[in-house]
Amino acid sequence: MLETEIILKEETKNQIASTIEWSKYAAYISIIGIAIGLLQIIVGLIKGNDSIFASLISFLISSAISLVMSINLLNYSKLIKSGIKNHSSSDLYQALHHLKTYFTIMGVLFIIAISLVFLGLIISLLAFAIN
Amino acid sequence: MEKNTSILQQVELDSSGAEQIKTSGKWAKFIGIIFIVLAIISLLTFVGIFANMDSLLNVMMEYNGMSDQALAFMTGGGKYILIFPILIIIAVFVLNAIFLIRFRNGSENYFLTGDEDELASSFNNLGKYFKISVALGILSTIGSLIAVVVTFFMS
Repeated sequence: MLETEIILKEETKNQIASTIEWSKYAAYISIIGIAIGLLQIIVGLIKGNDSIFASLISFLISSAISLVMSINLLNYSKLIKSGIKNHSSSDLYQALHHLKTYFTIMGVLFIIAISLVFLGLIISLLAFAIN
Repeated sequence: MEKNTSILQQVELDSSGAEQIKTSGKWAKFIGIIFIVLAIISLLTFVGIFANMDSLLNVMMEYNGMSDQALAFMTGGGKYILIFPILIIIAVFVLNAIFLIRFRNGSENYFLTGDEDELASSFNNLGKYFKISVALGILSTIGSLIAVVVTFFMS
């Protein structure tokens, strides 16, 4: 990639900088959420929850997705900060790549969720029709 | 190394940067539209529940049991208490949708017109979206923590 120096208006810099802190906080809160999820699993194990295996599988899948999204947000935050600070276009592009990955994962998750809702509806309708 | 060039020129030099923002914007718009659909579904559900509140409460009383006082409260002014959380949920969906769609529109306009103010506006909306995400994340974390404590000590 061609490394170039970028010049931004102060207003643009400020607006981009406003996303640095909040994206970082969003990532941290997501990671704290994973930790609380783990705590829920441990409490479930201690209390002898019957559906602990299903909870564990659900936790592992959701945690993995949350972790990937959080890492992308943290990388976005870190790289866009250095991109602005050092006027580095390559850092800026990498930051935007992480932002793209974050939104792509979220979009795909929404598509999967919508598909599952429709599948559930179709199955419910079929079950209703058969009965 | 090139000096004193605007970000627009850089993006034009390396199309991958432009592609990243454009793809982010497309997904953001898609997610924004989903949020609008969710807001409409929530509103319709809310209207449906509110319109049939009395019969729903009777069914609930039949299956789960409910004291006369609680039933009188819910059929009276109590049901209006439900308005606030549901309105907040709908407002969150709508605000998220607005910020994400504006993020997309701002970045799109930036590439069309080259006006850097559009890029600033785009990131301003992205920042607002992150702020809402943080607020929701904090609420969700507190809720989960309460659930853990309740599960541990009460069950």
